[in-house]
Amino acid sequence: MSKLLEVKNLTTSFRIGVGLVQAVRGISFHVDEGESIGIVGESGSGKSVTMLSVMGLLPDYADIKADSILFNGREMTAMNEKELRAMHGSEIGMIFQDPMTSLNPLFTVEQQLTESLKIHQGLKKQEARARALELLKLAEIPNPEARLKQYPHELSGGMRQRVMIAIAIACSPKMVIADEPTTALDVTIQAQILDLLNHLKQEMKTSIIMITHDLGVIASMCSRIQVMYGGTICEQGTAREIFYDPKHPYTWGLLNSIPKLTGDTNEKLIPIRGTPPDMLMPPKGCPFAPRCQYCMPVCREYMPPRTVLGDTHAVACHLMHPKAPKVLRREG
Amino acid sequence: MLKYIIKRLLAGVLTMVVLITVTFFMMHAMPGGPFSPSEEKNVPIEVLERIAASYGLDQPVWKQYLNYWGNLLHGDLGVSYKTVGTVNEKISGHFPASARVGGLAVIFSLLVGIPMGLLAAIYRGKVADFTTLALATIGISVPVFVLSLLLSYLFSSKLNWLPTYGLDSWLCYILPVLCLSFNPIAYIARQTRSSMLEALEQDYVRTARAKGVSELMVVCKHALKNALTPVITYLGPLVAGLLTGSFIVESRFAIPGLGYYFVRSISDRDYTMIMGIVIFFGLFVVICNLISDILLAIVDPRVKLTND
Repeated sequence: MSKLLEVKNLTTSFRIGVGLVQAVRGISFHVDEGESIGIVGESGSGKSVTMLSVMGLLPDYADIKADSILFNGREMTAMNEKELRAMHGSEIGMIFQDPMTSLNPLFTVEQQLTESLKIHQGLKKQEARARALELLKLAEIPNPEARLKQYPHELSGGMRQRVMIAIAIACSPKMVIADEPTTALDVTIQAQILDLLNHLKQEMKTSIIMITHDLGVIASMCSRIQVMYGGTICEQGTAREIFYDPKHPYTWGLLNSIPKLTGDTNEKLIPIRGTPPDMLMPPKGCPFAPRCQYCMPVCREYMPPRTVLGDTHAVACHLMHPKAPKVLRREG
Repeated sequence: MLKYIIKRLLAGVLTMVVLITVTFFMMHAMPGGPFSPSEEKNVPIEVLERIAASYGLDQPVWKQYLNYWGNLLHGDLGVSYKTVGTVNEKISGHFPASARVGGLAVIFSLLVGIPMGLLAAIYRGKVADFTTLALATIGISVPVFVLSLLLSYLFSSKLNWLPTYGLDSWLCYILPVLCLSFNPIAYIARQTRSSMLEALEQDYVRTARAKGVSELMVVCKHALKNALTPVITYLGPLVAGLLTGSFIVESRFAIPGLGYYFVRSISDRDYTMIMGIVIFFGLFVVICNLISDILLAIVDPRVKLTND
């Protein structure tokens, strides 16, 4: 499979009054065509900023540097604003976290849904409406004709997120970035939305980048997962590798904090203690060191190198060093 | 919608009844009257009493109040005590001048205020922003009588470009319209700027950008429509206030408008004129507010007109 998106050494920082917030610190990853990857991490780990940087949708006080961002063989870092805009919505679609605020309250579903069709495909009003109906049906929205005339406040949260999905896939993009698409929804709706995304992925052969803090959301969808912490990727691998053979203590911590449905009612969830690092002054060593149970003196001094464990599996942790003590993951 | 309008109109009627009653009794509670000896020093008291009696002013206040209502319900605002003609004639004669100047001022305020606020928000922290904020602060803090004096001194006395009084040519409109719109421009610009800044931060603006909408359309369509709702709310009182005329501007530039007569009627104790103009202003405010509320409901579908 060929690479659809390849990001090399992306660094994003925000200039704010008191200094520079280093939200993303030199990360590299790729997405194959038709593949779904998941980016997992807690709030402030830099997962959303990573994708907004790739899209070029950050405010102008953000500093984005990358050796290369290749999308479909084209270098995005060399594009001007107009070329980037031509890709937004047509080749890359985006779904955001909060469907309550992501739709413009003063425009109807039809106006918002047909906008990108008119811009990128030059459709006339009638053609755009016909396509919009199709899209609403694709997004499994009941009674689509009536929905077109409605305003966002007349729809439920799940419906709005379906409309957002319809907007994101309107121009049949090669890649859809879903930024916490289910976080603001209740659990049953979450499952429906994930089903829908899965279904669309198979039907439209779209690559999906799923950004979430919930490993459970990713398990059913993504073939590869990268775990982010403190603006760096601490572990990446296939879903199987991350779930069954995780190597980074942070990944262990994430897995231990998911409830298992094995029927053990006494199961204890183990939270990861402490708070994420202050990215205004990130620690010089491993960002996870202050919260890590297995922290060694070296962890606080030096950034751990990326250790490649296989074709797909890589981890950034000093425990991977041949001379490091062998530790066992504490199962939750 | 229709139900809502009827409801609002009924509420408006109630407002008017209260307004008329309060004004009527407050007016009469003031010591003296239109034909009291302190007003007309050179006329013998007996004559003044005869005149007052001929207007029914010798009757008890409650009776005068009922009489006034009787006439009012027939659409008759009475005869002006101190000027020639009926109050109805005065209002219909002087309102057009106020409305022309005020209407131009409303249009001018919107045409200048909204783009100013828009530019300030887009170029936040840049020269355009500071200029707008400085002008807006001046606009809000400089009183209109100072401004009108300064402007007529500069453009009429010194430069001799514009006439100082009357409404004979279009040149005459420039200074009064400028004076009237200075404060509203400042308000509209500040309001547009702050609501625009808020709108530009919203998630739906990011969604629009992610759809590939051009920056111009993001700003002028997605953000501006949201940012203008507070301006629409302000439009009702603004239109009512400007169209009915301003005493200061009208007397400064000798415009034969309603605002000038209103203040004169108060110092003259011209009861019927005071009541007539208060009723006219009140009606105007009620109707303008209703229109701006309906306008808001058209722009923002979340505003439900059926609820009260």
